[in-house]
Order: sequence, then structure tokens, then C-alpha cells
Amino acid sequence: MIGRLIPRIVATLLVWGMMLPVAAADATKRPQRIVSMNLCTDELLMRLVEPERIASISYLSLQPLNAPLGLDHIARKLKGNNGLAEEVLMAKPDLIVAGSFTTTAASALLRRIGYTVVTFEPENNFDDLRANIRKMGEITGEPARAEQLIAEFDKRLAELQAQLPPGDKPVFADIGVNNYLAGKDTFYAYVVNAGGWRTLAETLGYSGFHNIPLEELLDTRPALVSNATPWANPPSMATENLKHPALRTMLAGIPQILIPERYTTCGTPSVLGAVELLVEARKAQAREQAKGAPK
Amino acid sequence: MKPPLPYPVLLLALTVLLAALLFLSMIVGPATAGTFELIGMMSGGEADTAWMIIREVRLPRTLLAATMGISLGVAGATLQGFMRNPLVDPGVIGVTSSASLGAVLAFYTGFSLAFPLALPLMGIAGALLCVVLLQGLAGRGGVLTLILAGVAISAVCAALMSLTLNLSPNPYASAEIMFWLMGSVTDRSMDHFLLAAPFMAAGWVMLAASARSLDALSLGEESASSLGVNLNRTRTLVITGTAISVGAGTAVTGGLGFIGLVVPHLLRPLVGHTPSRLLLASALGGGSLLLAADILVRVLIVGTELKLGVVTAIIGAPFFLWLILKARTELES
Repeated sequence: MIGRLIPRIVATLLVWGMMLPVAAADATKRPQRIVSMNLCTDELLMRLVEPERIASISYLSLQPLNAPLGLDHIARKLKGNNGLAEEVLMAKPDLIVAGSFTTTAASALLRRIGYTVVTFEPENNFDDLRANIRKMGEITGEPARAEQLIAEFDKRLAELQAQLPPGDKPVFADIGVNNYLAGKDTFYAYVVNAGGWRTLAETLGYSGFHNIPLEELLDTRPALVSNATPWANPPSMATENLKHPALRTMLAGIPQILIPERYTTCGTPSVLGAVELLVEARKAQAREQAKGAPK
Repeated sequence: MKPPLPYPVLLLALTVLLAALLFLSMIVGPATAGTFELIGMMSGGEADTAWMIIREVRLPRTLLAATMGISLGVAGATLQGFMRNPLVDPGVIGVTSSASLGAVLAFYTGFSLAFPLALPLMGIAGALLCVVLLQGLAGRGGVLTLILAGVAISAVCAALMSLTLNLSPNPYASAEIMFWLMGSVTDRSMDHFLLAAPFMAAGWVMLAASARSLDALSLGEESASSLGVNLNRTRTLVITGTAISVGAGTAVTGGLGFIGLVVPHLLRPLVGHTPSRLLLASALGGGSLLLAADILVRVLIVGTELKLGVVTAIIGAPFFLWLILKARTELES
């Protein structure tokens, strides 16, 4: 555990160490040709910076399936990149943002040539989400817009949560690829909690992501099921488990919900799309329960 | 058996081929930074960017593909000669998987995040550990012991890699490990090349030093001993040379299959089946083939690049089958 923690701490320190001079320099001169190489940094960038200052975003954000909540019209006008160093150099950027786990070779190479590459760690909770928005605001010279975006996010989240019916959080069967389930302290679980539900893996006492055997799942009594995933098309072996007869019997008759993948891929304001769907489902579930209760 | 063309002519032809591919690799790129775009930038006042792409992105990638190809070719030829078995490739002695395991551990522990060069360094450490293990397990045994020890090391490393993927609580890190294992030279920097180059060069020297003994060994181990070949010395040179050249390369590029197997096969008839002559020819041929594959990777699919290791295996394996079928027809007719 400690062995895994130390490099993370060092990495974080390094990232912050690199950011400080950048942030100071940008107070006078804001970057005008920003390139983003990661789906999640794409969204933050588009929400904080005028499209004219964005030189390119990752090709993923140009796909309708992945375009972040309410940003399709901006993404459509921007150029895409595949995270190759050559493409980024062609754009002659003055700031490059990337994820810490994707395009790592390109990031290291660009940094070595002398470009400013700021990497963002995947968000593990809503505090990380706010911190990453703030970080993006600082390096792009838009700290005020970042604070505004965080305030808007918190306001909308509070509005949605105010609609939640009282009582314990029922179980949401978020059975995904290969029974790879999100337990406590994962971003996905925080989103599900915010929408008024518990994840299956949380209910079973897991934290982090786990492959959970089917037989362990069959004991739980979910009140809502995620309606497969977009992974069913194109087909994947990983979704075969959803067709297991035992699982189908367990899930028969339980209400279903379809949460588009793009609402939960990144720890960004797009998650409000998922929270909204989950809150609606929770209200419906409470109404059904109220109907059944007087018996 | 008489080769179809004289040895010096063959070497010259292969050298010209390698040089041509080196040049091509410097100017061919994906659509957005293709040949014409670069020429346009050179003349259109954006020469700085064009040169930076060529010097900092294309050059390290080209050098790495060429030197890794050379390592795979020469190590494949040496091992096939030493073991007198045409089915051997550098991966057989476990060096590819042990270097990969080192790199995978760098991902898993997060060292590669904190310090980018931790990845190749741990890969090289894995390859060196493999040498020590092989020497311990098969240092005095025959060829069979060496192959079995190599297979055992590969199996253990593959299992430990699966275990690492299995235990990794971070789906992002798992995905990165899987993509890395497919093998690629995309966006590697000069640092990567400079780190691997001394190991690869040292490996080449060791493999070259074993060339004379390989000719004697083609008569069998006992005849070779009576001709004054020191078998233990040759074995040490072959194992260590392969492990550090291919291991250091793998640590930077990830696993690249089939080059070390196919290239010696292709060139063996052309050098008249003399093991020592096959080394230099396979070095030049391996460098050319890997460079050609890397150029293909850049132009084959627009958008997301194919992984180099995928392309070498997809093109290499059917070609290898065709070679085997051809050889069989020749033998049987």
C-alpha cells in the first residue's frame, strides 16, 4: 500500500511543481493555442476557454457517443487529434493538457522538447472534480470562470439532490463489462450515491473496482438495473455475462435505466447527466413503493 | 550449397535497402504531418516546426525501430545457429517476457508515472535478471536445458504479468499496460534510444564474437569441441548477447514478435547456409523489416495508429507459414 502511495505522492508533487511557474506566467499572458489529448481534459477545456483558443481536442470528443453533456455544438467546430506527438507539434500549441494514464509516451516526449504539458489525474470523487476544474482554470488563465463553473456544478447538484425522497438508498445493479463493478470510493459509486442509490459492489462491501463472481451477485436484491451498456454494440465478450440465465432471472421485472457512457466516463460536470437520470429513477421508485405500501 | 548472389553483393543490397527505409521513415507520417505537409512547411516559413518533428519525433522512432530490428535479426540468427534449430526466436529464452514483466511492474507500482524512464530501466533490469537465471539454470547444460529453462522463465513471467493485471485496482493502469505490451515505437524520445543503445551495441558485439563458433557448431557439438570451440564461452556469449540487446530494446518498445524468427529464415538460402554469414545479413534485414513495418503502421490506418507489434505478427505469421509450405514442397519434390 505504502509502496504504491509514495510514487503517487511524488507524481503529484512533480505535477504541482511544474504547474507553479506556468500559473505565474499566465497571469500576464494567457495561452492562445491549447491542445488537449484526453477526453476528460477536452471537456474541462471546452467549458472554461473560448473555442478560438483551443487548437485541437482528442478525436474521442468528436464522436457523438462521447461528446460531453451539452457541448456537442462546440466539439463539432473544433479540430481533433489522436494523441500523436507529431499532430500536436503541427498545431504549434502554447499549452498541452493530457491525462496521466493516456498518451504517456507523447506527453513525455513533448515535455522533453520543452513544451508545457500539464497532466490531469482521473478524479476519484467530487473534490477531485472541483480540484481539476480549478487546476484547468489556473493554467488557462481562467480562474474566475473555473470558480463559476464549480459554483454552477454545486448548485445543480444540490437542486437535484433536494428532490431525492427520504429513506435508505436502494441498490442499483450497475452490472457492467465482465462483472467489473464499482465499489466504495470509486467515482462511479459517488455519482450513484449522489443520485440516491447504492452500487452493487458497495452493498457487498467492496471498495475500488472488482471483478465480482456471478454467484455473489445473485444474493442481492436490486431495485434498479442498468440497461446493458453501449458496449453491446460493437459486440464484446465482456457483455456476454449479462445474458447469463441466472442473472436474467434475478433481474427480471426490475425497472431498467440507460445511463449513457459519456455521463460517467470522466469526473467532469457531465456527470450531472447521470445524477439527473438516477434521481428521476429514484423518484419513480419511491412512487411505486408508496403505491404498494398501504396494502 | 551455392548462394544465388555473392555475399558482398547481398550485404550491399541489404545496406542500400536499410538506408532507403531510414530515409523514408524520416519523411513519412500520418496525414496531418505527411511528406507533402512537411515539404510545404519547409518552404512556407514554418521550417522550425517541420525540423522539430523530424528531429525530435521521427529520428528517435526511426533509430529505435532500426536498432531493435537489428537486435532481433542478429539475435534470431545467432540463436538459430547455436541451437541448430530454425524454430528458435529470441523470445524462446525468456528475454522478451522478463523485460516486459519489469516494465509492467513499473506501471503497476506507479514508478513510470513519477519518472518516465523508470519504465525502460525496470525492463532492462528484468532482462538482466533473465540472464542470471538462465546462467544459473542452464549454464553448463546442453541446448535442450537452455530451451526448457527459457520456456519456464517465459511461463513464470507471463503468469506474473497476468497476476499484476489481475490485481491492479486501477482500470486506467491496466489498459495502459495492455496497450504497452502490444509493442510500439510511437512517440519514443531520444532519451529512450540513448538508454537502450549501449546495451544493444554491447549485445551485438557479444553475438558477433560467437560467429566463428557457430560455423563449427553446425557440424555438431562434439565435432565443434574437437575443432577447439569452447562451448561454455559460446553459450555465455549467445545468451548474454541476446538478453541484453533484445531485452533492452523490448524494455523501450514492448514485445515485437516474429522479426527474429522470419528474417534469418528469409536470408539463410541467400548466404549459402553459412551461420556466421547469416548474422550480419540478418542484422541488416531485421532493421529493414521493422522499419518497413513501422512506416506501414503510420500510413495504413488514418487516425488511431496500429501497434507495431500487432502488424509484425499479423504480417509475419502468414508469411512464415507460406515459407514453411514452400520449403515442404521443395523437400518433397
